[in-house]
Amino acid sequence: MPATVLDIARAFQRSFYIQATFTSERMLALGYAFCLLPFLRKLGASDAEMHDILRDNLKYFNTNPYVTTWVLGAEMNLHERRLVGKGPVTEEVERFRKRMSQALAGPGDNLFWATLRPVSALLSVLVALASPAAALATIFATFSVPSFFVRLSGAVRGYRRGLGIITENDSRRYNQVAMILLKVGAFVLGPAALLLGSQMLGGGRMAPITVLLAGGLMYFLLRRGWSVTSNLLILLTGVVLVTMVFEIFSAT
Amino acid sequence: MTIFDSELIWFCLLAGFVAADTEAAWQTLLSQPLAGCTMAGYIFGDVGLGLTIGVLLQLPYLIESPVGGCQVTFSSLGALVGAGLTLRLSEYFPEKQNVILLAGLLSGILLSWLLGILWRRSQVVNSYLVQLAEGAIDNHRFSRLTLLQGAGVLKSFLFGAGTVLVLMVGCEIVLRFALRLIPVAMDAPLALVRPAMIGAGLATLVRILVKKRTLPFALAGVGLATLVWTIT
Repeated sequence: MPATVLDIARAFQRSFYIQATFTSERMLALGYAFCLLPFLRKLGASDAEMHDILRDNLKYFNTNPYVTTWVLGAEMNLHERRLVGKGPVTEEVERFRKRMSQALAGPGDNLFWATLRPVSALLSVLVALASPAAALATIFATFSVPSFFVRLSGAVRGYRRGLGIITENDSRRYNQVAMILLKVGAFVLGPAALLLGSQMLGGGRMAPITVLLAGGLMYFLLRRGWSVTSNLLILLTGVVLVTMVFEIFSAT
Repeated sequence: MTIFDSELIWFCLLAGFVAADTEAAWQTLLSQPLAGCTMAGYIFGDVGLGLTIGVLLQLPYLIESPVGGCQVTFSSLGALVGAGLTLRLSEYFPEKQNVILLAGLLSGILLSWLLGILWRRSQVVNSYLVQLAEGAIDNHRFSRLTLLQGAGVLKSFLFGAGTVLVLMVGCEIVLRFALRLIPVAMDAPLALVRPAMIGAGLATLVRILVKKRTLPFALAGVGLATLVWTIT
């Protein structure tokens, strides 16, 4: 029996919880099996078949969580065909899953974590200066909604195309979108600095100099690969030391 | 205001949502410091201050990406505690707003790091859930997988709510005492904390967004900003 819209919607909905049992050894493996479970039941797979498929899924699975549905949808198609004797054997499904998850991981991480998240945060910070409530809506509109769309379209297109999704996957387009977003973010950066400076700075005449000094130091430390925690602690310790020296001098 | 009140309960529920949203469920990014701290501001009745902490801690942590299971801090939850402490302490020491901001930021930074370690340790629970799942599959009790996955979400929620409750109470008691010792005269010079954090945030954004191919766009943006600044 072919999958209905409801089956795909169920897999899509379950994909939101795919990382709930994340471990460094198996990554998203159990979450992936959890997403596939209702569809396998619907296909009428025997207990032995369910056992083999789910055990196979529990081995190791890792990709960007937002693009998991591409693999998931395609695997639903493959199992559907396999259980009526038309699809690939288990080993081929496993190879496909591994290859697709690896192919999507880099572009998915690049688009969602390295690009969309900072650009969305930057835009939300700007909106927040005008209205805090609108900032929450901006995060939702600029990050959550696009990620929902990618998840949903991945499930639908993955299921429709099956193995063919390998040639159709959007990893190149993800990189193109990421570059456009980077350009938008880079352009907004100047006005953002102006707005942040004019609305949040405080600290009198020393404030702009502090921004430049702290920014320069932070950039230098980031380039050297230091962690955010150590960088921020160094900066704040510096501010406290300067304050204490100022206090001592003004007291004397 | 006592340490235990209804606001703290709402705040812990928010922390549970933040912890779950960060990794285990949804990943809407509404758990990010900007959103989380603003919501904390709504709970404690000072949205502006919550937003300030959110902005100051959001930008520097953007450089961290949970890519390939690499070890990152738990900035969403750490920042939330930092914001919660700032919001609660600001009512006690209205004459030391900058000192409190510094205390909140330092708490947020250190707790982000500490909670990151605790979070990774808590993956032992997930490994146990996976083991249980293997057993369930071997015994053909497939519906248990749903239950175990649900347990993973619940574990994240309880981790967030529980740790934040403990940290808020503990840190508030310590900071209430410690902040009394700091002279009021220190407050004014500490106004430089905010520009320092803004500088750090902007530098992080430059590091992420400005590359060879985006440099002309960044320069165009700076040009536009300079033009607007000159005119206004």
